[in-house]
Order: sequence, then C-alpha cells, then structure tokens
Amino acid sequence: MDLKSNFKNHEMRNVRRQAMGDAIQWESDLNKALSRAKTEKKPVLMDFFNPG
Amino acid sequence: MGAVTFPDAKVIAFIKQNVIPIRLPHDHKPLAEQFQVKWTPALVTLDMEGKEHHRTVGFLSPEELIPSLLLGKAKIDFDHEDFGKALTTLEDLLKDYPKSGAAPEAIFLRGVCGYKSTHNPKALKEAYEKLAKDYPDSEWTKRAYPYRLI
Repeated sequence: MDLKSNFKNHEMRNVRRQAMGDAIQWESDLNKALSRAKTEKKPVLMDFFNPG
Repeated sequence: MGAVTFPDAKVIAFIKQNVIPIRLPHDHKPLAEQFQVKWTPALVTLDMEGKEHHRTVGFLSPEELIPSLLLGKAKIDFDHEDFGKALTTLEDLLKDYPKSGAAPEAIFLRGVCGYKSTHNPKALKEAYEKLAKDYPDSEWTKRAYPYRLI
C-alpha cells in the first residue's frame, strides 16, 4: 500500500471514529460509568479494543 | 466493531437507551488485567456494582450485538434472581432476533427462569423441545438434553 492510500485509509478511520464518537457517548472511566449506571439504572458495557 | 457495528444506527439507538458504554484499550491498566482480557474485541457486561455477568470475544455484527447485549441484560436479572424481568428481556430477544447466535442460550435461560419462577419443570422440557426443533446443532441443545426426560 502506498503512502497516499495509507493516509486516505487513516483519514477514513478517523472520520468513522469521529462519527462514532459523536453518536455513542463512550465513557473512559469505570467509576464514572458505574455512577451513571446507578443513576440511570442500566448495565455497563465495557468494550476492550485494540486501537491498532 | 468500530468501523461496522458501533456506527450502525440501530446499535447507537440501542446503546443510548439500554447501557452505559465504556471503551478501553486492550492494555488498559489496571482494568485489562483485572478483567483478564487476552483478545479483542472483548465486550463485557457489568451490573451497576461492577460485577461481570456476560462476555463475548470477537467481532459481532449489528444483528448479533443487540441480541447479545439483551442476553447480558437478562443474565444480570437472572443472577439477581429477578426472573420475571429476565423473562421479559429474553422474550424480546427471541421475538426480534430468533436467528441470532444468542437465541439458543436465551431459550435455555428462559426455560431455567420459567422453572425457577414457577417450580414447574415443564419449562425445562419445553426449552429442550424448542432447542431440539429449531437449533439441533447448538451446544445449548446438548446442555438441555437431560430435560427431555422430564
């Protein structure tokens, strides 16, 4: 893969991540997530991912 | 998951309405070690106290993620012995996602919830019969196999 298409793919991933971030309000702190879970009476979904 | 499943409109709506989502890198300290994460994506469902009740490892499409999350929700209620609430969630899962990978386990759990809430073993036998008919090759059909004798 050449540098240009690599950059394009990287940009596309950023666009997708940005869109996803806008849509789903991911927490990054478990204590905060659990606090929200108690307030909103919902389970917590933890997504362990590989940023690549 | 980040490119396909999480941007899906139905997934976004489901997550917003039903769970508190948290994203962590696979090497997060101390949580990756605490939850013994060895491969990604690893999706772990916790109750409000932070106790794990359900986990999947590997990619899930939007059509598989939502029923898996419903199953996780039902497992929390089952583990807390709120069988009525668990049954409602399992019925929703089986009505909307009968072909999903989570469906056979949901049928098994529905049978157990039915038995636990009524003490009538008929629920277990019905679970086996449904599994044998619709999911003959599922591991959950094998696990329910003894219930055929009830």
